[in-house]
Amino acid sequence: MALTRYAVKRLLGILPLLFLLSLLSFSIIHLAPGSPASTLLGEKAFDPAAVQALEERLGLDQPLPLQYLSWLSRVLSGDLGQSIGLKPGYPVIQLLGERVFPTLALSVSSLLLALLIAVPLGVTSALKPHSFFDRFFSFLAFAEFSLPNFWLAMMLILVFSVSLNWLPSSGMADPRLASFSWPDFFAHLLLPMVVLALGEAAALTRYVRGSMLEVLQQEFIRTAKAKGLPSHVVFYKHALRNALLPLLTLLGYSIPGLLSGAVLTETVFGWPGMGRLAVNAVFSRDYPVLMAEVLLFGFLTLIGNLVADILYACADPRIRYEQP
Amino acid sequence: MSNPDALHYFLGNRLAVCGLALLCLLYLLAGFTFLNDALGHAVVPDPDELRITEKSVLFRETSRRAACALDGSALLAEFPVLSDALAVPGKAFPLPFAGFRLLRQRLAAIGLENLESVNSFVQRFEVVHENKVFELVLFSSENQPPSPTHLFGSDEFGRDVFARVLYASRISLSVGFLAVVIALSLGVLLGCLAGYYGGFLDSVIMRLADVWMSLPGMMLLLTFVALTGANLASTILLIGVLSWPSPARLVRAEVLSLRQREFVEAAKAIGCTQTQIIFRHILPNALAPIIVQATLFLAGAILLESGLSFLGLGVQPPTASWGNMLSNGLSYLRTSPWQAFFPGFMLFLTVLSFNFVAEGLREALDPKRRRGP
Amino acid sequence: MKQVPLLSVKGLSVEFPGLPLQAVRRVSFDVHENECMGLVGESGSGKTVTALAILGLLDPSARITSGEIFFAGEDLRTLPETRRQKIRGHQLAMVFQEPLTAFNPVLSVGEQLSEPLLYHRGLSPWEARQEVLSLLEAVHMPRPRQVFQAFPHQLSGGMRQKAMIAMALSCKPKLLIADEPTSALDVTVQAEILSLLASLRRQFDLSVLFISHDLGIVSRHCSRVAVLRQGEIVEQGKTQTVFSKPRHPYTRALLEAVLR
Repeated sequence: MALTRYAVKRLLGILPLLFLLSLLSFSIIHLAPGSPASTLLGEKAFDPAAVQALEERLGLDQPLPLQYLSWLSRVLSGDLGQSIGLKPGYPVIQLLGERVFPTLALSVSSLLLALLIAVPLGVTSALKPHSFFDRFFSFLAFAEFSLPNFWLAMMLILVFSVSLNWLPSSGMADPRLASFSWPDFFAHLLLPMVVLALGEAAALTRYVRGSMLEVLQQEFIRTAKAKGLPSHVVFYKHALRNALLPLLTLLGYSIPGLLSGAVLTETVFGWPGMGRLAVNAVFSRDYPVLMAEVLLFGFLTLIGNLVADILYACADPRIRYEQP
Repeated sequence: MSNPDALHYFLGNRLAVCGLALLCLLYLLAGFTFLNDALGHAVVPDPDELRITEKSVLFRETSRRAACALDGSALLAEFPVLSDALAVPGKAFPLPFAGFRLLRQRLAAIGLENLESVNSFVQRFEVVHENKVFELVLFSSENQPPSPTHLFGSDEFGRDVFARVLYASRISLSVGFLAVVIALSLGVLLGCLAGYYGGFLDSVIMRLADVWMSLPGMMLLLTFVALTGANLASTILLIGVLSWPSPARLVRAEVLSLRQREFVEAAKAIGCTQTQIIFRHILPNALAPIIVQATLFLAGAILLESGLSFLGLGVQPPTASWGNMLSNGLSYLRTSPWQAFFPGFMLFLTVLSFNFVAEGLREALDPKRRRGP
Repeated sequence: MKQVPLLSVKGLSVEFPGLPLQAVRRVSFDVHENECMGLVGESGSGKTVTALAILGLLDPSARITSGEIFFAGEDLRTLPETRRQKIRGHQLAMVFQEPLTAFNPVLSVGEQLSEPLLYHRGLSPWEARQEVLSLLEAVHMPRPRQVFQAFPHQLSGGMRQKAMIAMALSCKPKLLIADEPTSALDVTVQAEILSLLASLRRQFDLSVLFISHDLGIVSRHCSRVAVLRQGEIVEQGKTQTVFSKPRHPYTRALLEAVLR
């Protein structure tokens, strides 16, 4: 079937990129000043016995390609090494694991909120181009592009947390609470989610508007009107469906931007996610954690693109049912 | 290809003109800071100097013990510098606390020549708690809200925020500009090569561009900083190198479309060398979209540098950058919000102006994009 | 005794902003019941604009500066949009030139063909499906059931045009406007579509306003013809008369170009 062929083709296309990504990650520890062994051992680097033990365990005395293979096999079996700066000795994979849910929760919820804002705004703008509504929100979106999101975050904290005291200003949960509570979680999630969502919504609105306007110029809209279909049918069933189709791909490709934006927002809000972990790792020169983060970010980006492309192929019959 | 019609259209765009005016003002102010330096900070105070005024003494510690216990020996142990100042006459201290000899003299001048008087003095004044950091603030010009003396207020060291914001603009503007230069040089070169010579070179460069664009930019920046340390030069270099694919693609498209045109054939017929053809004939036509993109990219580079500095991975204190001022401001958000507000607002205005100008340029130079009825 | 024409266009003028000349200038013609009327002219002569003006589907920037369009006794220009929507696709239908772009690529052919039946005749989806299948058979569509499920890009050009004709005729309109229905098709398929149109005309008691730049087709299929040049009708009348004894120099030039 055309769809499976397409999916397989895309998957195969990703493999060289995954390979490059792994090379990139692998090279980090070797680019760091000093030998990998001394970097990983930290204080014990002056103990020759410890150095030798480590070298044997990780095969650091072997030629690079072999080292790469043994590293790769460790990674694929889940061993991402141990943290050296942030939490010495702690397995990196566990460290990452604790941070995945917060970042995921933040990213997904902000994306949903962004869609909720962008689609109605974009569609309404396209219905009456160059009207006051359209120009006002286009201007707002434009201004939002220029707004540094970490500053916006701080201003929101100033208003909602400091002045009005409605919402907490940092962290993911109130430390005074004994166990996890959903309302508390959402109270903490709200501000960071809004900050991220506003940023994404700005780009999405312009995109939806443009896509909608383009679709409305197409011939088949004229046919639909010529059939005497009511305006709402023409608009929603014919125009909107076609206009939102490319949005799927756009969402997938916005994942790297989402993750990058999350780094700054997580820092402002003290949100315990992967972004903040990466920043802390840089400060502590915790290379194993950095390597794992690079792998994870890159992997998520590639997978995101892949899933977006496949979803699009599913949704667009022109690709799903290719001409024989 | 500039033409009078484009200029006229651009000037008609109010937002673009405002943006341009604002940017000119900003560049003027940034340039003025150099003058200010030459004049020995006659007009605007030195932004990096930790101000220890006649009436201010600043202690900073991370525990509450010193204030509450007021144990003499503990206080001296916590503040060895202070004990040095009180006990050892005439000793000089390294920067940034360059004024400590002065400090000792001034402490004596306000009657704090011995430890007991320091203790009782401390007891009488405001103790401000900020998480685990507390500061004793005595008669100070620290953390002052905006006023005629400090237009944007003062920070926790008594430094004038307005001065710092101004000096920070130097950093941001130059980082943006240099990063754009790097990105454009790389991008235009590779784009020209790819478009003009085509074939294998073209596909290699384009594949490289594809991969480059799909790299997680923030992660690369963080990794690079982890490996090489945080400083201005590496920040500029990295931001520039990260962004060559966009201009490259643009230039390549223009070169491809222009390559076939008659005037290139004519030029070849006259016998121009290939480099001559590229530079004298093709590039000028490709200039318009490149200028637009460069302006947009400038805005983005400034934001990126601010973000990095905010994380502590770009420009390091005491050098002022809007980013690291904001990072500092985050800690003082509750007590002196002006520290966070003004740098961020300036950043916003600057980026906004660049974007307005870019949009105005885009509409002026490309008739198809003009907003019509 | 002259019966009231089905469609009567009187002094229609359309202009676009920014263009010095009007696209359509004081165009007047009639289409009677059960006749095939041709509208010929070169590209840019205003044929399609006229058709779109009749249906009320012009670009919002276009302005109809004068004229009346009477269809079955009503002036289409003065009707509210809701009433016009009821007439479009129901009593007055249109077939476009390029069938691939005229169809919505993400909806199945069957779904798009069912729409007029669902909205104009209030049929249920199942009833509509039966009706569409019989329509597809009426236009000699091979494998109607498969075509119903298929998407537009999966059909050949000729099949798509047949589907579009079927869609236009689904509510048994009185007038079909065909805007260059065969120009995008291969010659062999053209003949098939044209004969199909002719037989459907007889079967459904249909009037057709046939727009084309191809004089040969028009002369063979249309009983009356109007010649458009730069938005103006320079000559109209019975096809035989106009083509054998053209009075206007432009008509003569057109015919000469074809004969050469």
